[in-house]
Amino acid sequence: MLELFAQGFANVFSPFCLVLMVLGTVIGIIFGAVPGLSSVMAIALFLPLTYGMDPGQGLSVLVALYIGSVSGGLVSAILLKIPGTPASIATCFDGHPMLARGEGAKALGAGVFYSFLGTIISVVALMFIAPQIAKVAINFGPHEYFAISIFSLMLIATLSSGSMVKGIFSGVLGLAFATVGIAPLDAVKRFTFGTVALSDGFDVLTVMIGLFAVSEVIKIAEVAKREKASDVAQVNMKVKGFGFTVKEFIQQIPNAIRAALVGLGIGILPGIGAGTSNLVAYTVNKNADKKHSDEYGKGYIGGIISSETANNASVGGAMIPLMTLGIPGDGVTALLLGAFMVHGIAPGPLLFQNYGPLVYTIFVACLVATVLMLVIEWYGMHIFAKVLKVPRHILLPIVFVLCVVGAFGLSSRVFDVWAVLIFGVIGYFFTIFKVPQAPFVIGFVLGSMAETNFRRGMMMSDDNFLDFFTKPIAAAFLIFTLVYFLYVVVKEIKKAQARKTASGQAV
Amino acid sequence: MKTQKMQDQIFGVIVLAVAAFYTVFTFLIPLKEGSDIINARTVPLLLAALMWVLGICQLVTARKADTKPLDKEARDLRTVLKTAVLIVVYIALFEPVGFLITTMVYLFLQFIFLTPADKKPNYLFYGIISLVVSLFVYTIFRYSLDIILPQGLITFF
Repeated sequence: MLELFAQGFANVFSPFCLVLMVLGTVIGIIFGAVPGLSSVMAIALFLPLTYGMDPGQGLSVLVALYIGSVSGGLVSAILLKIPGTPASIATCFDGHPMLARGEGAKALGAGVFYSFLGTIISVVALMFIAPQIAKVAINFGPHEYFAISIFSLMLIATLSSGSMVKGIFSGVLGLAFATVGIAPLDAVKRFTFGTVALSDGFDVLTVMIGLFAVSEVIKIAEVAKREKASDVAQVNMKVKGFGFTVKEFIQQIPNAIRAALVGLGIGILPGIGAGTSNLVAYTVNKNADKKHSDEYGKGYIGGIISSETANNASVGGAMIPLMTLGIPGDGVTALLLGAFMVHGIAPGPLLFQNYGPLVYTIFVACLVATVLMLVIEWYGMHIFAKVLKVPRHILLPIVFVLCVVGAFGLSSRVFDVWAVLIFGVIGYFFTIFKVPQAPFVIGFVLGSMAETNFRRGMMMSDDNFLDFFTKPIAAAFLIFTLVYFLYVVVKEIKKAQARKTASGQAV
Repeated sequence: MKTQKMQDQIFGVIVLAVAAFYTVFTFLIPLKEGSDIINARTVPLLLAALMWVLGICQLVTARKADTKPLDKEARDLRTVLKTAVLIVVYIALFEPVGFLITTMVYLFLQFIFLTPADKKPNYLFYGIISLVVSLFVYTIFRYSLDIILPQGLITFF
């Protein structure tokens, strides 16, 4: 293991790779900080640039972008009072009051430092947990993979929105789009409408760019005319260390640990990640930290620590199912999966066996990117604050152009650009009808995996579906999925009835 | 879409329409001779069935949805429409006219469309940014990433 580590270090510390990672961290933080730009966009834009690199370098850059962008949201959460990404919603609660009290630098310092701490904890967890899971997963066959992908889809469809029907529809539609092209096993052409372009199916990058970038531009168009210049708070950054004392650090250790565990756990679950974990950790700590419960929301440093530790701790968590099973839990990890695929590498248990050096390069890259994030975000704060002043009506069209170019660069055909547009329209309809986008993406990405393993499993079991239940792990996941589904349905029906009686009384 | 109920119902109809479309084309998938019970149509059929169920569920639950008028979130549909048309035209002309010209024009117009109402569009500034961004992106892709963007009318650069 140490040898692999050394190799990883050697890969990451090549000048070319380091320069790219610095750049990735800076851009990541900017995409995190600017409301309307997101981690997914940052990675979608950079993915085409990594095609020509070797896999280790390419993934190192993407990891830097990922870590930077999850943390970057805190900059605008505190200075602009608007979270840059959903991952920093809870940071606003205490960030704003602290800023108003003149403790802006302390708030930013705590945010940056605990982002760092959260990432480090989760990456260390990733390094120890992932190889163990990979060892178990190496024995998984089609039955297990099918069960796990169905389990993931069910979780993401039900957790990511208020409406169960809309969440599931989003996932099913994603699966349906994944069926376009050549079918697994028997290579039958499906839904190609006689065209050559469609026989390869849609590329995941076009789906992501359309869903997340194009629909964002259109969303901006909805409100652009009314937009006011953003009011970026000025903060005197001349403070000792990160603005908080050693005593405060020691006091906050329990909060940080709870938040890191919440972040890690939520990160591992498919469907929910940093966007949920910051809020959950905030609530958990508010309840657990009895002495200071009342201070949360009034400018308490523990609030910022909860939110920022948890959101970054989800990064390492989300990497676990991706690297060990090849199952992405959200948009970002779906793109990282794509990044592996571009280089002909399938993440999964075999990754640890066949690509040991690559795995450790990624681990090292995570650690290095975390340190880079700490240094760059803290010392470059005034620059990031300036970027927030760039009006969105200038920034977003430029990002859109870069998206178009990225989609075109996939295989130099305009078909991919049209595909981006189609998914952009779908994404916009989703926002109108409040349908969550994440299940669509995961459905799309897991679609062929689920179908291939389903059909392979059925073949191995002589078309007897019950055979899936004779394998302990597959059965456990399937039964849990089923029970969980029934639980959600019952909950949904009860909710509807409660609403009915409530409105009945109102009348 | 004046009420939540109407919006939910419209969504239900859209789901059913998608289901119908998907079902029809699923039955048009060619099958290999002597294929098993589980074949290339199986999963699409399952998905189609799920869509029908979801659409019906949506319509059933929509009957009980709120009939109070929705808050008027003023959607600036004019700007949305202009942006949408602009994007479609941009992509349609991307290849024949070429990256440089279309991107410059797209950016310039898009900046203008999205300029907040209380501000005057700064045409010179917009023009310069459009030009610089297009040239910069083109050069980077062409000369350092070896991805040749559509040249279209400008063939000498």
